[in-house]
Formats: sequence, structure tokens, C-alpha cells
Amino acid sequence: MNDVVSFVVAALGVYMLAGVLVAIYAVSGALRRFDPATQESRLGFKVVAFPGLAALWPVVLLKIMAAKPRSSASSRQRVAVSLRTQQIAWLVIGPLACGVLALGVFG
Amino acid sequence: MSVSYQAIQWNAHKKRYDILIAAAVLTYLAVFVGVGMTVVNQPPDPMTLLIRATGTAAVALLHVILAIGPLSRLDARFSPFLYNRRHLGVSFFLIALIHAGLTMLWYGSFGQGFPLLNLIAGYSGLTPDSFPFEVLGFAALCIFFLMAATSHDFWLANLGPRWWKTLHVLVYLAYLLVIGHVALGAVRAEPNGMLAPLLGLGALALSVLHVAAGIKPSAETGSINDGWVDAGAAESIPDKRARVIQLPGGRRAAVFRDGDAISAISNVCAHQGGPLGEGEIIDGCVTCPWHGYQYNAADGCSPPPFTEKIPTYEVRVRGGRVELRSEANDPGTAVQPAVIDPEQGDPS
Repeated sequence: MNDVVSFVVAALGVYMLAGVLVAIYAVSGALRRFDPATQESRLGFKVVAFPGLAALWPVVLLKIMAAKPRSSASSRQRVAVSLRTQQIAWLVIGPLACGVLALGVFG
Repeated sequence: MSVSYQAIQWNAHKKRYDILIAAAVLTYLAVFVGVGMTVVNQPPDPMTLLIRATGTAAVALLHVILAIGPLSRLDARFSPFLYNRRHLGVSFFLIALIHAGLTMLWYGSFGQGFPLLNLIAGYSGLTPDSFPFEVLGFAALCIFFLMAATSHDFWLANLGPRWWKTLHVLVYLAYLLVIGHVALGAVRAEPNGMLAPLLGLGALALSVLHVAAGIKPSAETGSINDGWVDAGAAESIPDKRARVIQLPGGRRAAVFRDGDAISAISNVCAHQGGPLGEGEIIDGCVTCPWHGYQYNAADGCSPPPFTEKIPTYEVRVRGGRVELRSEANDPGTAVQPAVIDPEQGDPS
């Protein structure tokens, strides 16, 4: 019984830690890529949205990756390259972070 | 509404309501702990009393929250509570979180290992007497966390109404988990106390309310003649209120009366699908009873700078009876309101 609960709690911890990383990335600017209404939102909104962003981080990550870049024509190419780089980086960072955390918990 | 997100959409009404909630909860906690320490023989320590106080407050608030929906459907006087239910829900979650936090710290050795694991370490099996009831409460708290964390309009917009609603329907599962948590915990600890009968009464009351609200007809069906649907006598619609009409294809229209002017719009709010016909006209706008989203009855548009639009219906008054087209106009289409002739009951 304790082993099962220990595993569930550890898995939840790993999930939430990954969520915190994604939530920090989202509130630092990535949110506006899939929801323009967040563009003018203030710190209070980011604080309120943070727990949900961390809890539903796979949804958030998918939405960020699926969103088309919103930028002026002159800088579109540069931003697109930058966003692609970020996507690839986060595709690596996410699983890596989870793996490291799992090693810390179960290793 | 839709321009940019705010942390909390407070207005004067909601601030007063939130202050009232905070005052009521704090008073309850103070009275519970005060009475427990002074009246009861061999009182428990103050921390145990506070844990019980927050636990009972959370359970009571959960019942209130679950009762608001059917109550407002059965009687429009409860609509203001529906309008403020989201804040009540977040307040409830914070109280439940305090209850869980205090419990895990107090009974969980204050941080030597993960508190929940410390709590269940003493259990040896899954019989009712040795079932780790804390796990049920923890599972319910996880659901309440998800609900509170996604209660902001940002989540409704980005998850979509269907997924958002599905997520929030989990409250019924969480309610059952809470009942299990209390039944296997506090009720088994004091089987002759008042908690079990009160909880049973609460569950029964919620069941009766939801069944009654489901039975009550929420829309009227009018006869159709040449594409126009009869919506009843114009004078019988209360001023600033609506009559909800069932249309062919399952759609519903809300026929509003504002003085002598009659307009018809979709009954479904663009925000969370709230029943606009159960709302009223405030400051010249149809106001959704759920979260206060507003629309101009003549064109189905939210007042600037907001951008929500809902479908409208052509409407006329003949022989004192309201008739509306069975087919909806596109969202935001302006329609000239029909006017009740006070002397003849005919259109002007």
C-alpha cells in the first residue's frame, strides 16, 4: 500500500515540477502565441494562471507548439527560427527534466 | 469579458459578496474553536479544533455550492448566488487546502518525510477500520485544485467549453470522495455524533434539489405558423425579463421585454452557455445569470469594447401575442424590436 502511494506521490511530484518549468516558460511570453488576449494582461493574471498552467502543462505545451508565430512581416522569419529552436529545446528539456527528477526520486 | 484578462474580475457587488464570505467563514471558525475550547469537557487541542473547523466549513460550503445551481433554476431569487458561485468555489478550495495542510503538518510530523506518506504509514489494510481515508480527501483536493486553477476565463477560452465543462463535472466525483473521506474518518471516530445524520441530510437535499430542477420545464413550446413561432401573450412577459421558447431543432430563444419593446435572442450565452432567458435586463443589456456577461437585446452584441455576439431572431407582435421566426439570424444581426401597443395589443 505504502509503495503504491509513494509511487503516485513521486509521479505527481515529477509531473508538477515539469509543470512549473512549462508554466514559467508560458508566463514569460509564450502564452501570447496562442492567446492574444494575454498580451496586455498584468502580473496578477499571470500569478492566477500559473497553477493551472503548471497542472495542465502538456496541454499548454501542445498549444504553444501548435500556435503560429504572431509577428510583423519583417521579423517573421527570424522569430519563426527562434520559436522553432525553442520548440526543439523544450522537446528535449521536458523529458530530460522528468528523467533526471525520476532518477532523483527512484535512484 | 473578452478584451484582456484580469486576475480577478471584481466589481462593487462581487467585492461585497467576497467580504461577506470571508466574514462568515472567519466567524464560523472562531465560534467553532471558541465553543470547542470552552463548552466541551476535556476539549481537544486548538490545532485539532481548527482542523475540524476548517473541515466542517469546507464540507458545508461544498453543499451550498452544489445547491446554488438547482436553487436558482427553481427560484430566480437565488440567481445572485449563481452569479457569485465561482468566487465561492475558489474560497471553498482555499479552506479545504488549509484543512489538508494543517492536517498533514499536525499529524504528519511537521515535515519529516512527505506528510501524506507519514499519515498512511500506520495503516495495515483496506478494511473500513483501517482504510486510509486521508487518501480519499487528497484525491478530492486534487480535483478541487484543478477546478480552482482552471476557473479563470482564460481556461474556458483555451480548453474550449466542452473540455472545460467536462473537467468541472468532476466535482460530482470529488463530492463522493469527500463523503467517503468524512465517513471513514470523522464519522467512524465519533459514530454517535451529528456528522453522519447531517451529511446524509445534505446528500438527500442535494439529490431532491437536482431532481426537482431537472423536472421543472425550462422552456415553452409554441405553435408554428408559416415559419413564425407563437411565444405567448406579450403582456404576460414580466418587464426586464424573458420567456424561453423551444424552437424546432432543439434550439431555444429568449424573448425579452423591455418596457413596450420585445426582442428575441439565443438563450445560450457565448461565455459558458449560461441560460440567458433566466437573466434580466440590467442597464439596458440582457445580463447572463451565471457570470454577468451582457448583450444588447436588439442585436445580440456585447456593449463595446467587448466582442461577444449571439444569434438574434426576427420578432413581431400580433393581436397582443409575440411571434418569432423559427430560424436564427447570424450572431450580431440587428433586429428592430417589436412594440406592444398598450391600447390595442397590436404592433405599432
